[in-house]
Parts: sequence; structure tokens; C-alpha cells
Amino acid sequence: MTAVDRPAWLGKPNPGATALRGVALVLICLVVIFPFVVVVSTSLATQADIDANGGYVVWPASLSFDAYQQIFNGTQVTRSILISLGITTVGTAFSLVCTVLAAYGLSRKGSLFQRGLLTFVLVTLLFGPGMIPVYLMVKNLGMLNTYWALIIPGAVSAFNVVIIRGFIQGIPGELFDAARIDGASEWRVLGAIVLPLSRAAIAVVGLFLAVGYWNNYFGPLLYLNDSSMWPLQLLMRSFVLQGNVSSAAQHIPGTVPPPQQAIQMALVVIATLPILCAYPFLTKHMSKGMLTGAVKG
Amino acid sequence: MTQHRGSAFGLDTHGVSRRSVLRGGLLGAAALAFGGSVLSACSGGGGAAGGSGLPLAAMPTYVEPPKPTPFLPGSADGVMDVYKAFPLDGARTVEGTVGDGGDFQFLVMTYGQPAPPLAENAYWQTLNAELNLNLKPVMVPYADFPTKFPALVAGDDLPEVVSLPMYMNTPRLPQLAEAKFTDLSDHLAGDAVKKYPNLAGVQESAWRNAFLGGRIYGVPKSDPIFGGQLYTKTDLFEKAGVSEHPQSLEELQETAAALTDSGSGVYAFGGPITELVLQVFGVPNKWTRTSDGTFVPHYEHEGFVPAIEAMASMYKAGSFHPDTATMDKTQRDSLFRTSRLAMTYDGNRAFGIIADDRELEFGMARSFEKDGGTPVYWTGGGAYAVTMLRKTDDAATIDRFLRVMDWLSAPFGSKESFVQSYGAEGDNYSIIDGVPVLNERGQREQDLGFAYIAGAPQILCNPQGAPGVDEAIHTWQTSVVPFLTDNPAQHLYSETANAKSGSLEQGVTDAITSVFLGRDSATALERAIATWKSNGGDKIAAEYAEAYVG
Repeated sequence: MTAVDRPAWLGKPNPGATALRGVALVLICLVVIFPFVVVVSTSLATQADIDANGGYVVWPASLSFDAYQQIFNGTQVTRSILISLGITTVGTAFSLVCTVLAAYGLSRKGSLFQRGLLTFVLVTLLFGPGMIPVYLMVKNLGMLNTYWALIIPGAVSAFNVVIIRGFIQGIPGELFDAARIDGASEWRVLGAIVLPLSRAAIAVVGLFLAVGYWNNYFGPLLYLNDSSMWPLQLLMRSFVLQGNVSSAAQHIPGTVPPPQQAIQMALVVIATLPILCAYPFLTKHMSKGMLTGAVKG
Repeated sequence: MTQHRGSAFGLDTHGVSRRSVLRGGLLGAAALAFGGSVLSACSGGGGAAGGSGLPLAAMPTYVEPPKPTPFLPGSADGVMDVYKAFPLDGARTVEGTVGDGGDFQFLVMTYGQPAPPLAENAYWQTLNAELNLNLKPVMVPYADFPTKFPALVAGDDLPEVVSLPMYMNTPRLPQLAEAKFTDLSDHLAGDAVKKYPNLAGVQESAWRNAFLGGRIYGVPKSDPIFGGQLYTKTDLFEKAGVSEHPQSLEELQETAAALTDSGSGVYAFGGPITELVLQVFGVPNKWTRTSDGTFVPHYEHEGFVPAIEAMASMYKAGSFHPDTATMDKTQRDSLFRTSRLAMTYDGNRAFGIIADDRELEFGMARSFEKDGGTPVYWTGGGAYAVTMLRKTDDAATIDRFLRVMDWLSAPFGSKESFVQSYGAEGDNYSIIDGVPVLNERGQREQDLGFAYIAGAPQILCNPQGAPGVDEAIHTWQTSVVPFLTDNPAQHLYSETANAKSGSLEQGVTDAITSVFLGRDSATALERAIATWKSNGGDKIAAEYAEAYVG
């Protein structure tokens, strides 16, 4: 291949262009990272720092962990974190099992009622039932004030079923034929062939499910009357949106309450940290899984 | 309860606390979010039927409750008593056992984090022991109340007791009450209330909020009648050499200009002062009832548009902080505290200013009229919330509910009131120099919200707050009492207002914002008012006139 025939992206990079690209990427990263820096800095700032900076601090003059101490004072936040972790773990596992089973069944031509069931699933993409009908259903099933109310109603999304179904359909049919010739059952085919080859798609869908369960506050608001069962996001909402640590707060002699903004930002850090920690373990699957269905043939 | 301030910039929910709401904090956003209006007319006598076809219930007979001698006495007009500390040896006002050992589930709105669970909550355990009940709160965050409450109603899943804050403007409340809650008129109207002595000590202005369709459907949580006030940062006024009590519009404008130093980042105002300027221009409290019985909205008052223009001229002159349109209460309080805002208009006893900083030196400007004449001061509704019992015919359940409300309405100085305010000694409070002092745990555990679903007339007693503030508030309240102006439609029901007032008033609010920020001329506001009238305002006026029982 001559220099004329060679495509531009295979050629030797121009140093100037490389430098420019580097600068642009650094700037973009700074723009993305800056809000996180402000959130963490403000959570560690004193009232004087916050007042001097008009509410949000880029670099605190002095560090203060009072906001974190206030938040973890008592067991509520710790308990709500554990509740959120539990709901996310169980909910994600449950949703993935249901979604993968549904997607596999609907991907096999000739399955019983395949066409009708697929239409039934796809119709749910068009519209939702609304808040009150779902509430009535949850109530009539006796799930009010239980954690299952946060998992079962939203366990299976038609969109996720379609994504994984499409991925499974992309697996070469010869693999399935070979497995059947060897006497493998459908369960064996699912476990030994489909799941290993679908790891990327399942990882991406699982991550989105996990983030959804972790961030969900609306379900707990509606279905959980007992505040000791509240997950972290709903508890956080009381702080961040309403802007108060305690509605009965008075000045306690000898103490200086931590600034409200610091407490709010500390809660944002606490709520975001688990998801941030999980992301690095799944990035290797993301690039492949994200393009699922994007390229045909 | 005070009328909401109706932010000129739309929603402003930050920094709302139960205390700031109870004492007149920011409420406009909630009203807009929920939409609707208020309660039915009430009357002191029989005769005409209420909405249910039953005769109008009589106002509960008022019996002044026993109280300790105040440091500064209040008045029947609404000035609050001032006390230096809570008496430690108050007598019990409720005889016998209140509860039956069973569960008492109640819905309450919260403004902060939920209280610790029962096993860790000494305050909650103390209440259970005092009342012989197993309290089971259903706590709903303030921001989510308009979502959760309709779901509970639609799902027929209401708790036994529901506390509804008045400023939430629950849609079709009279119809809801008739369908889902117990009519308590036979137990509370007239002298019947004397069976519950503390409920008889709740003032009439609070009880008016409990009348729906002419019948009594709940028990009010009593609230001061005062609304907003203009707080002044003393050091900035001293530095500028101007008085903290301007007595005319011209003086206010000159004061604002003298206080503003944009080079140093100091401004006279940082938030909406719509209600302040309207009152300065003598605009009546939302509605006026003429001698022929017609209701006229305050939008039609000759001073309404000029008041907004005056506010706009101060904005144009640079007296407002550049971020006024987007600033929230927390930021505003922070700027006020650090002497970068000279004045802030907020609810009576604005919580965020007083409790956080004992060193904060500030004043409260007296009311004034634009030309130095007689000012007006808008009163509120007299109750923070109304607490209702889910529909039942069981006499024992009704009696238990009313005994609990009676316990909660025990007056200041009583043993019951002390328990509600302080909880368990050692765990929640300790005695320092003869004064009970809440500790951090006591403060947090009171987020249970139980003490806020009913209550006796409020007093001023904040020994842990900034020194001298209670006396200053008493002085300020005394100064505005001669100018109190009621809203004649405060407790009247209008179908149209209940269904549409949120969307109707949004148009006017948006026009006020546009004029204030200089984006539009006053004609835009006049057009918005005309639209408000034609789209429902005139109908609301007619409905109020019909609902009024003289």
C-alpha cells in the first residue's frame, strides 16, 4: 500500500495535531471532573469557606469532616446504605434472570406462543400504566411496605429484553445446531453457550439495572410508609432537596452545626461512590456491549 | 398559618423547614405545585346548611387556658407571649390515660431527615409511654407530599390520622373530607369542645381552618397570624448611616441606594420583596369584600401595578443582587449573614437566620406606607395544619383521637407541653442553670413530627437562640397589630380557585417577574391580570361572594 493509497488514520500522526487533540481532551476532562471536585471540596469546607465563596468551594482553606460526622451520627444513613446495596444486588440479579430467560425464549424460532408473547412484550414499550394503577396493583398483591414493591413491578423492561434478544440472535446458529447434535438441552445451551457469549450485553444491561435500582427514590416514596426502611436516595432527598438536616434544629450551646451545603455535598459523595467504584470493573465489557445491535452483518 | 409569600420567581423550595413554615417561611412553591384554594365558609350559628346538607357547625367555645406569667405578655390581637425559659414544674392538664395501648398511625409532612427508628429514639419512646399508645408515623418529605398523598387517597390507603398542612392547598378538600374523614362537629362544636379543655383553648382564628362545608372535620395546629417581615443587617445600616426603619417608599429607595456598593459585592436586596411592596402601596390582603358583598381581587387595586413598577425601578437602579432571579434561600441567608445583603424579606422568625448564628446582629423593619400614611399588614390563616381522622362511626376511636389532640394542644407551661418540647431527660435534654437545653440527639429525634400535628397558640421562648430576639419580635409584632388586614376569602371555598388557581396565578406571577427584571413594561402585567380575570378570576370572585356567610 503506498502513501497515497493508505487511509489517513493509518498514517503517521502529525505532532501538532496530536498536541491539539491532547489539549482538547484535557480540557474536556477538566470540564467533566470540575463539578466532582467542587462537590467533594464543598463537603469538606467550613461555613466560613462556603460564605466566602458564595456557596460552593473549589479548594477549601481548611478541611472539616463535620458534615460526614453529622451524617453518620446515628444509624440512619448507614442503614439506608445497606438497604440500597441489598435492593440493588437482589433487584439486579432478579431482573437479569427474568430478562435473560425471557430474551432467550423469545429469540428461539418456533417457541410456544413466541409471536404473541413478543408482541405482548413490545406493546409495553409504547405506554406505561401510570402511577395510580401500579400503586393499586402493588397494594392488591400485598407488597406495600415491603422491599419486593421496589423490585417486582419494574423487574423486566421490554427494552432490555429486546437488547439481549438481539444479542442472542447474533450468535451463529451453527453453535446451537452443534450443541443439539451433542444432545444438549435448552438449559444446557443457555448455560454453556449463550451466557458466556452474551457476557458483554448482560454486563451492560446489568449495570444499567443496578444504576436504576440504586437511584430509585420514587418507588420507596410511594410504597414504603416506614421511614426506617428508606434506601439512601430517598433519605438523601430529604437533605438535598429540602435543605435541612433537622426540622427541629435549634442552637445547641457549645456546638457549631456544620454548614447545610457541606452536608448536602457529603451526601452526594456518599450516594455516588458505590456506582463510581463499580464502573472500573465493568468498563471492559462496556465498549463491546454498548455497540450491541449497532452494526449488522 | 401565614399566607404564602408567592415567590415572584417561581419555585423556591430550598431552606424550608418546619419551623420556618410554622412561623411564616417560604410557601409559594408548594401552593403553585398543588394548586387550588382553601376551605369552606364557617359560621358561628345554625341556619343555612353546609355543603353536606347538614346545619353549619358552631364555632368551638373558647376557654382561655391556664398559663404561667409571661416575661412579656401578648394580646388578644395575636401578639405572642414571651417567656425566658420553659417552666420545669408545670401541672398536668389532661386527666387519666390518653390511649388504649394500641397503634396510632398518623401521616405527617417532614422538612428534614426522618427521625431515628423507635428502638433508638428516646423521644418517641417517651411519647409512647406518656400517651399509652404505639405511635406509627408515616413521614412524607415536604417536596413529595403532592405525589404521595394523592396515591394514598386513590389507593384508599390513608392512615388513621392525617395531618394536612394548609399551604398545600389540597384539591377539593371539602369533598375529600366529606368522603374520607370523620365529621367531628358533634364532638367539638360549641360547648361540646369543653370535654377536651386544651382544644377549647385553641383560638378561633385556628379553628376556622378546620371548617369544611360548614362542618368541623379536623383539629388545627395553631399558628401565629403574622406573615413576612423585612430583616435588616444592622452593621451595614450603621456603616451607611441610614435608619433600619424607612417610613416611606422614597426613604426605602434612598436607603437601598445608600446600602448598595456593587464594587464590594454588597446589595440592598437579594430576593423577591413582592409582598412587601404591595403592602407598602396599601394593596389589600388578596381580596376585598365591598359593602354590596362583591369580592374584588387585589390585582385590581390601584396600587398593584405601581407597586411592581416601584420594585422594578429599584432593580434597574442596581439595588438587587445580580443573582436575585436564581438565588435560593440558603444562599440568600448566607449572603445576609456575611453582610453582603442588607435586607431580606422572610417569614416571621426566619429559622435559618436566627438559630444558626448567635452572633448575628439584625433588626426587623416596621411596616410603613409609601407616603408615610397608615400601612397595611397582611395576616395569615391562623393554622399551620389541620389533622383529621379517617372516616369512622366508632365512638371509642373518635374519643381516642380527640384525647390525643387534646394532649397535643396542652398550653405552654404544662407538663404535656414540656414533654412534647423536650422529651426524655438525659437522652434528649439536660438542665443547665435551671433552663432545659435540648441536645443534638433531642433535636434529631423531634423530627418524628408528632408534636406538629396539633398544638396550642404559640409563644416566643427560645433561650437557646440569639439573645434578645424574642423581645425584638414581640416589639415588632406590637407595632404591626394596629395595621392587621385580614383576607375575607381566607376560609372560603371556590370550586374554580381550587381547580385552577395555580395555573391562573402562574400567568400573573410570570408577568410580575418579567416586569421586575425589566423584560416587559407594566402593560404586560395589566394584560396578565385581564387574562386572569377572564379565564377564571371573575368566576372565583363570584363564588367567594356566594360562599360568604355574613
